[in-house]
Amino acid sequence: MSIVLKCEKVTVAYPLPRKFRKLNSKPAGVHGVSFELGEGEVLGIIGKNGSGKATLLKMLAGIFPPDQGEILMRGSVSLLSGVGVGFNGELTGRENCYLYGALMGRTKEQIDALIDEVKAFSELEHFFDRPLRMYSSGMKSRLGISVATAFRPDILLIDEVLGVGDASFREKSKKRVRELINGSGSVIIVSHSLAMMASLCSRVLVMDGGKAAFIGAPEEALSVYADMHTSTS
Amino acid sequence: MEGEAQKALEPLWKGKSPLAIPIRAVTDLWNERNLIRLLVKRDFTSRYRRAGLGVGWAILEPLLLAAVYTFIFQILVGTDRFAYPLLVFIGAMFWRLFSMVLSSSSNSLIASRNLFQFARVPKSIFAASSAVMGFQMAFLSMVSIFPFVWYYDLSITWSYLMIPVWLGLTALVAWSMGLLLAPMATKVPDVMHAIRFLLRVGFFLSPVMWTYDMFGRRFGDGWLAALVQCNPTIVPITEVRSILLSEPTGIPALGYQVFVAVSALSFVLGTIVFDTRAHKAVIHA
Repeated sequence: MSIVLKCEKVTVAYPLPRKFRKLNSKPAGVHGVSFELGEGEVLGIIGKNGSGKATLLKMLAGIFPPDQGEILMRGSVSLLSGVGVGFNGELTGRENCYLYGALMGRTKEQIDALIDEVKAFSELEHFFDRPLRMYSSGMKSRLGISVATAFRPDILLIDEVLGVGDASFREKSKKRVRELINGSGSVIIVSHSLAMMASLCSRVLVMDGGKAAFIGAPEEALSVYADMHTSTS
Repeated sequence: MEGEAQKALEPLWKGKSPLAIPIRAVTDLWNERNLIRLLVKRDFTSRYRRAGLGVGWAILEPLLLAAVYTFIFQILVGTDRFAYPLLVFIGAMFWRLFSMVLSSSSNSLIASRNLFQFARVPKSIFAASSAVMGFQMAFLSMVSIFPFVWYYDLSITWSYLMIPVWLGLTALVAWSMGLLLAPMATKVPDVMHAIRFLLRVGFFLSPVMWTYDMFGRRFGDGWLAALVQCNPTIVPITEVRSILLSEPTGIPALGYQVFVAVSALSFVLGTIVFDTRAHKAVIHA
């Protein structure tokens, strides 16, 4: 399996607001995280709130650079985060798809070829041509997952959005991620759903206090994570 | 096999020569023109889709502002300047373009933070889309010039084609200044408050309600006249007014030199500062 992404001792610290500096508070962020992602691999990331999962994904997506360390990758990368994040409420589902596709570097012709697939997968039917402000949060998420997976980046980063929608759509989303992986796409998923981690991921990274506490088989990772919970409670 | 694949990995963040950054900024604009078009469409739609008059507001707003400014200035000072309402309309149109592009470019890292995650497009594109949006709105509002031309019996000449060029230059200077300020505005929220305040002050320091010749008559050509040349809206507004009235601008060669220097410096510094600082500043957005 060839490597598509490599993190080498990646460190970033969020700047501390002045009022906290005197208290010697430890800056939040990510500290010395290293791992590799193979082609067609699904890596899960779990950890408590504030453990640095989302920060790590933002660095991998190229939103901001690390203070230290290096990120090496091959191919395109896209981060799917939150419900309807980045979509515009006044644009229709279709218009948002064209904007999203262009942001992912696709041409109009490429988007034209995929737009019917996005519409069908999202099950939005006539809502697809209505402004997004008329959508429920579940509908926005369906659109988000549909477009993110339809445009197939080489590396897809997913932050807590696979658990949205009704039960049948959740299953469809998982199936779509599997298809993406079979097409040699690589995926990194951040989720609090341990069952999803166990069913989808080939390896799981456990984050604790901004550091990589463990990386390995899902069963072992979930037990490390469970132990962390036990020790703090 | 694996070794070969490892070689193909590229660093996500590569260092660039500062001198190449301004050229890169121009090529980025060209390469991402389709994305800029879609972002402008998004902004137009957000602004006008639910409005009854639609894009008519882009034409009506500067016209109404000019009517109010003319009324106020006539009450306060009184002037018998020929075609004064037209001159105020031009001032209002350019000032609206300059202030809108400058404030939205400065705020672009904060306003577009949710879009950075989709793909690694240059972050300056989002500021550029607000500059193109401002230019398009000003271009549309140019329609309102023609009733004035008819009323004041002005002659339409080929030099009218220069009006969009001056609008474009104004948008470019405001975009460059916005790029210069954007990283700092993202880190320190006070900067956006200061920009909004300075734009309010700048309205009075720019030739919206007054003209360059009025200023010359009042303050002569001393140090104050030299200082006022640093305002990058003076040359475009005065040039367009002189095109419409077919009269000389009265701006000395030094005024044009200062305009070119301020514009070029803003562009070079703005693109370099943005490219080197924006990525780190985003962590605060």
